[in-house]
Amino acid sequence: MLYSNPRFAAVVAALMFSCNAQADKLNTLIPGLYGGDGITLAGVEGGPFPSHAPHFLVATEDTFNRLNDTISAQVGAIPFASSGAGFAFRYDEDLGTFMQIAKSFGPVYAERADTIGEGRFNTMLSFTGFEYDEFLGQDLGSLEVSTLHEPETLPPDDQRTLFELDTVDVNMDLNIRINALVFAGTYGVTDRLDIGFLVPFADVDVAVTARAEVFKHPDNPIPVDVHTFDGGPESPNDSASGSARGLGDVLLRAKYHMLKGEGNNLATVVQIKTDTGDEKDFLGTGDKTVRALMIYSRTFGSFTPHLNLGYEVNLDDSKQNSVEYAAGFDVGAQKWTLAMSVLGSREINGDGIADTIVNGSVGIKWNPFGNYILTANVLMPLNDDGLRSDVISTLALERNF
Amino acid sequence: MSRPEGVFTRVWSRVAGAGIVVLLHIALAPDIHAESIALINSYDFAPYNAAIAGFLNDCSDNVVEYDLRGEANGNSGLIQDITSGDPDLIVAIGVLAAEFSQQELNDTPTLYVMVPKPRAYALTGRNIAGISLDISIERQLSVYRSMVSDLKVLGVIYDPQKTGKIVEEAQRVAALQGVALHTRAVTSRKDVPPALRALLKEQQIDALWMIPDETVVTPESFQFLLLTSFEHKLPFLAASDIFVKVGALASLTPDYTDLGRQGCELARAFTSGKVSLASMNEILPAKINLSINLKTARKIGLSISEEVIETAAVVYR
Repeated sequence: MLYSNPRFAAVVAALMFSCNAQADKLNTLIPGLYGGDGITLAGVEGGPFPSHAPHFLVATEDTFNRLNDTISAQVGAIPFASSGAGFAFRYDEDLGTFMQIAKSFGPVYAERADTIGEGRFNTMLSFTGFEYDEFLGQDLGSLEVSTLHEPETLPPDDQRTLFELDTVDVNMDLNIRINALVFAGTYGVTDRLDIGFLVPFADVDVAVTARAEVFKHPDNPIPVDVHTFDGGPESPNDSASGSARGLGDVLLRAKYHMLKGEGNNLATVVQIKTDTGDEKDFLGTGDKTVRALMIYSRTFGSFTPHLNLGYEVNLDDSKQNSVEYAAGFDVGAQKWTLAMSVLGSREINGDGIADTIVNGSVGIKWNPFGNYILTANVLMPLNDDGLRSDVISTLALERNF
Repeated sequence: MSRPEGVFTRVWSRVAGAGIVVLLHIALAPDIHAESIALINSYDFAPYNAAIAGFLNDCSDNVVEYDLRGEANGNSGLIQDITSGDPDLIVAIGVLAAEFSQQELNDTPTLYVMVPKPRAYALTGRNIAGISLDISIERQLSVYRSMVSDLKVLGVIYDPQKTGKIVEEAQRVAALQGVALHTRAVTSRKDVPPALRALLKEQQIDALWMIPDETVVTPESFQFLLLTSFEHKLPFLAASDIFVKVGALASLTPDYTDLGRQGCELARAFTSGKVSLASMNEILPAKINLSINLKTARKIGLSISEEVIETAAVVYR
């Protein structure tokens, strides 16, 4: 039935009825439904009612860009190259020589304080694939939005009365699939300083099917059906699809291992996200951001818990500034590592949509041979804010030099 | 009155019967000359386990195994078990087991295996001897000279507190082999990079020699030593195979399994009376494994002969 969440309705309907349609770009697909100018039903002529072409629109449009950002936001949620296990050893008194220490490979999405070491280089190729499943907790396969009659047909103009209370309810099946191939590299400038980059190439597919139905409001006293699609300019059903491929938002970063020791370890990361991805095709967020992150980790044998806390500044929209955090651990020996983390972000002055995102990450890293590390990870939502996928899967291959 | 034949028969049958009993006793009695060995392991540790496997492969009869599990104190139960078994020889694997045997079971001869620098642990005396983990300087220099044919000057950085004696011995041995040892002393790991830079600046060295010095060799300093050796195309001779795996040129390490075998050989020699512990000096490992990184050799422009490569136990390509 009707979905009455006003925020949701505003966002989705705003997508449908934006007047600035650009047919070539993915962000115009949904706004372009039903002609891109709202839903117009069969004209009402003669009788006791004013003649008019019933036109249904959404109340507001300004949440449209937030959803657009949300679609492309996950393209940037790609795990950066891990610091890897590195080469660790200790002096063994009983043998009178050095023994290699088994050390885990580190977390996948979160960070631990270790850097990769002076002169060392790490490269990573990863593939991340997912399909969006829910928006604000609602299944994307069955989105419903109620569109409203223009209020100016009957007086007063600022209030809906009689048949103006009717709505056209639209049920949409929205499929948004994203695959991203990422190449990343990290270089150890010194034993404490790493610099790195991440270049994503994304493949985005969007398909939407919409079915509209007139709903006669119970408070509409008129006995006849004033509103109908029959004989009107539009069909109650519409659909659109499109795809885009290209460069996403490139990341650059530096990491400094401030406190290095056998016990507590502290590091800081500064990460710059560029806007190289085309936001109109959902390949990028369209914003430049700078993120500063403090990282704490401590190793107990092969078990390393970690804590990350940071702040991201959106240079193009300060309302999207957010606090970032992660907590978790990785545990493993020379060949295997299990990594688990909870990752979250919270927009300080958000607009109520996708303000708080919390995900859980579970991954395994495996060293099949030499200096290669194979990673398999899943990212799962732990809350239902924003546009979310039930599972975001990542496969990555790293090599340390 | 008894007839003579009957008396003879009775006596003969008694003598024969007694003889049969004696023969049976000898045949069925346990071998009173079989020696028993108590094998004491310090704790569960891969190198120790390798030595035990090597020992038991050749000496499995009359061996009773014990494990200190890393704890030598408060082990009165174990002491009682061992002494009640009345072993002829104790074979102690590792430092902890050797010290335990020397202190708690000093009435029983002890043969230790896998002890580094035994004199530092005062494992000397009439009733204790064994096989150390140390590789003689002569042997090390001999092998490295076979790999680096024009090796005349060897550079080494060390902490006098930790490895001063090794360097002192090395100076003497190197001189006998016509190799000069140029050294830099440090007292903390932070001094390692400037020490190496000074060594390279002031003197031309043909190779960098890593001795097992925990002041000098840390994860941070090792990276520096390795990268500098690449920059200067210097053979980097390491203290363990783990460094060769990640880029050092070569290392020599004792073969732990063979140490066990060597221990069995000595144990047999002792129990058969061929040797006495009192007459044994510290015995060095018989089998030493050479590890070579050929990728590093190519990187620094060093050509190693096939004969040498064939002698290597581990080759990284």
